[in-house]
Amino acid sequence: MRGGGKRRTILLDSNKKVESSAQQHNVTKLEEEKEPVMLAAEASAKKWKNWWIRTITTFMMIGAFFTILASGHMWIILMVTAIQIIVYGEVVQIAQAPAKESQVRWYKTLSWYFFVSSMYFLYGESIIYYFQEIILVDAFLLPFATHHRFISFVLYVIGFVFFVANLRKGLYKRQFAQFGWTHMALILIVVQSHFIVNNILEGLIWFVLPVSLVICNDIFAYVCGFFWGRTQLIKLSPKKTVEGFLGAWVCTLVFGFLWVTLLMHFDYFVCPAKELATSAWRAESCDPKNPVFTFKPYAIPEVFAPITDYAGWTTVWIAPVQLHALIMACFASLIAPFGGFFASGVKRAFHIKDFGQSIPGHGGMTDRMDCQFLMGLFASIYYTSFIKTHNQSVGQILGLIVGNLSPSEQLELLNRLLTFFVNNGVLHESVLEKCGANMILP
Amino acid sequence: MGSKRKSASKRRNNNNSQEEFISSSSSSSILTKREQQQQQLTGNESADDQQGTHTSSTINNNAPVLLAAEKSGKKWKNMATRTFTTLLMIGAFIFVLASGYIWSIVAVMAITTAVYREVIQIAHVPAKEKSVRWFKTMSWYFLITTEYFLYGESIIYYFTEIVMVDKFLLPFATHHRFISFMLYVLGFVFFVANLKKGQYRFQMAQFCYTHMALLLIVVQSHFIVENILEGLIWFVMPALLVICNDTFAYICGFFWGRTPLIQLSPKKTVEGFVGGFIWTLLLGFGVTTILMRFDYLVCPVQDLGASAWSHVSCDPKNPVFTAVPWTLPTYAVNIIKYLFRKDITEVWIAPVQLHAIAMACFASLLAPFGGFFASAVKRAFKIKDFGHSIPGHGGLTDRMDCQFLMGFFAHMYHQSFIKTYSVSVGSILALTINNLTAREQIELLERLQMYLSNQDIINSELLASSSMNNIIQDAREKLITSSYY
Repeated sequence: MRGGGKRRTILLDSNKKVESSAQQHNVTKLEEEKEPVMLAAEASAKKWKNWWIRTITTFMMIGAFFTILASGHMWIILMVTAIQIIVYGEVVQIAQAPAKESQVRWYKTLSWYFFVSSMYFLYGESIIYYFQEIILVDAFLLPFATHHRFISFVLYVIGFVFFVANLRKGLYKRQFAQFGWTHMALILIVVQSHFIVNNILEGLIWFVLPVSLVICNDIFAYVCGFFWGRTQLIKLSPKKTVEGFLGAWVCTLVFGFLWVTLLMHFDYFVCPAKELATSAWRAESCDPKNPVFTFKPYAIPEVFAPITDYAGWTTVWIAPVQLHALIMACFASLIAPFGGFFASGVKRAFHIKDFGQSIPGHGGMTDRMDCQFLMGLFASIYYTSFIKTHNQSVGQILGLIVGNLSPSEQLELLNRLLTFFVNNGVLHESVLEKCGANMILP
Repeated sequence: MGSKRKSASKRRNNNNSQEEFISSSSSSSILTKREQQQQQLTGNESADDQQGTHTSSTINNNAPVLLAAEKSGKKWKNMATRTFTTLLMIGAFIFVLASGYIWSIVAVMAITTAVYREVIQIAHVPAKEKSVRWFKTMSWYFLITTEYFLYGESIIYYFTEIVMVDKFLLPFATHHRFISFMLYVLGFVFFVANLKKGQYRFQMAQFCYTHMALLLIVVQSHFIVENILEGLIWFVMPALLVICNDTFAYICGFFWGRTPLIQLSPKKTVEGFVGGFIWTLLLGFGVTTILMRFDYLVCPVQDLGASAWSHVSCDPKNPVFTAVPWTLPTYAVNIIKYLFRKDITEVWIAPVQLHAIAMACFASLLAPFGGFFASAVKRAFKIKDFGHSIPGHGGLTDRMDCQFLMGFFAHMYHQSFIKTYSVSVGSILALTINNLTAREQIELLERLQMYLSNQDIINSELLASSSMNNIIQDAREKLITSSYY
């Protein structure tokens, strides 16, 4: 079928691929020549057999997920780290095979070295940011915290210098390709996972919700495609259908709304991590909670008046987090799948069927997690931008002003504050002339 | 050597490079199908590797001719060209520097864009051949998105007090990262939707290449811009150290170069490397001692439009610029007394001079690896130079390749060991606008005014007569009725 050379052994199974066709991800070249068989149109027995395997492993994974979820922040972070390591290992492995034959030694070592350096940098940043009061008072840890970025930079430069010194005539292109591959893997896997860890520390709901939305979207896309899938969605993943895509979107919206309404009542999910040794049974509470979790009354629009008057409802209580969940569900259904398509593209580019073999019926860990990274990144940035509150009080800021600014700086601050209010229409323009900093004593 | 031969060889090389890129990137460099082609690549590379990266030796298959051993006439003629363009570039550099912060930043941005363009250009030709449309557009789109993100971050950080008070700019500042992220996602989605059967590997390679170019060029140059904003000396000094190292490595190699340094750049010699190191240490120390006396170079940016002729001053300066006395150990005192008949017991050294020595070490020993990296990229794609903008030197990338890594290092070093963090009007304004509710902001205004009037910093009678209290009360009431409260 194709030329030899060292290749992953799964491709030898490609002949058997014709039978096991219920996977949604890749289709080998042989099948590309035939019309891809939609799930909904497949022969019953074959279809349902695969359905069984996938369902069992899906339930097992979800069960494991919930167990770890209840075990506490630290275990969840460890789980994310473990998944990262597995996914990175799978991805690096793809570029490894040719390295062995062309005597590029050190590729694997260097990849893992860069991985460890990146983890050191990223996890260090998180720890320093979230656990300042513990790190900064410790005499041993303080210099590591103060010079964290420089230390991380030096570690990176060591790897860089080693790479350059190890370049061999005749292998430049391959070595550069591997260098680029390593960096892309670091950016797309490690950096994005870092944002997921930050989500965990901000409050478990900001981890559980996005992850659940992606899982839900995957499952419902499969189910809807199973029963009604007819039109192909994108050439990259020929088994995905438009009906599955849209059906999943609707289901994810509904699921997201209901799920967040349930989760928001539990302090364990809502409160930021103050210390790492928590669990579902020893949950601490936090006060004040983020205002997005507070229900507010909204007047029902007149359009629905006839129905609601009949039922006796006058206002509807909605918490902002429910609306945020709808937006996240939209991203999970419409955009996060492109992370999956990207991974499919990578698999096609290198003619492999799956990234690994860890999970029966699903392929490797990367195949399951490919959409999660993009979703986690989105959740983190969305949260930081629209939801996060930084707790400062008037007194704290006043203390900073009085303690640290010179009188002329204080006057400048006054002026700029007045300008801000004037620009936002809170105060009238004349305020600046009358009450601005011109009122210095002669 | 005739210029005709030179251009013919360049043309041939460029053609070779394009072919190689097409053939070997479609089988990419990761899982190659065609082992025979690999043999061919190896064969080609060993022949072409003999050419130097910087000078103009003829194409031959013999051992590289080191500069010190070259024929006099050719060597000196080349040196004249290089010296002339070097002096021209240094002159331009000083002129831009004196023109002000904003012009320096514009110059860095222009150089970044030019270098990015040179690097992307290499990959563009095969893209056109394969009719992968949108490659160039996407590369530029990602460049603009990245620049928007990075420069936005800098502007928000350094000019908080201007950005945060403006009604139009504020939401862009508060949600800057989200906006940048969505812009990137747009590009990502477009890329994925545009993947074509049969071209997956090539397109993936392009994607990877674009991102590496962004990381190594755009992100690193952004750190250089941050250096400018922290104080021009943190831009000038690292740049001069690299230029100095390059120049003296060339000169020492010119006169004494015998042993090759690294296979990647056959014309570089160990003598040149070590000579460059020593000279860079000495000159770095000397130049810093001069530069630190100019406020224009030392002060962090307050006014972007300032130039060398505006009277820039700052108070207090960063303590690294203050010379402090160091007592000399007794043996040194005795030696000086013996040699110079002078009684010197202490010497005044500013910490910045020692930092300059640390930076000179990096510039001489480690920054050159950025240059070797670029050389290797050229070899991998079988090109002699990234471009032809600068006579005698090649393209802009060839000149700037070490600068990026050095600028990155300078930024990290500065941030870790030199920077002082202090509360400023800008940072407090940011805290107030971002973190307080509207009601709390008004309360802060009131209390600030009360404090200032109590401290007699503002005139309390004027304050009372202006009926400020009524104005604030009005504003509060207005806020209660609107949901903004």
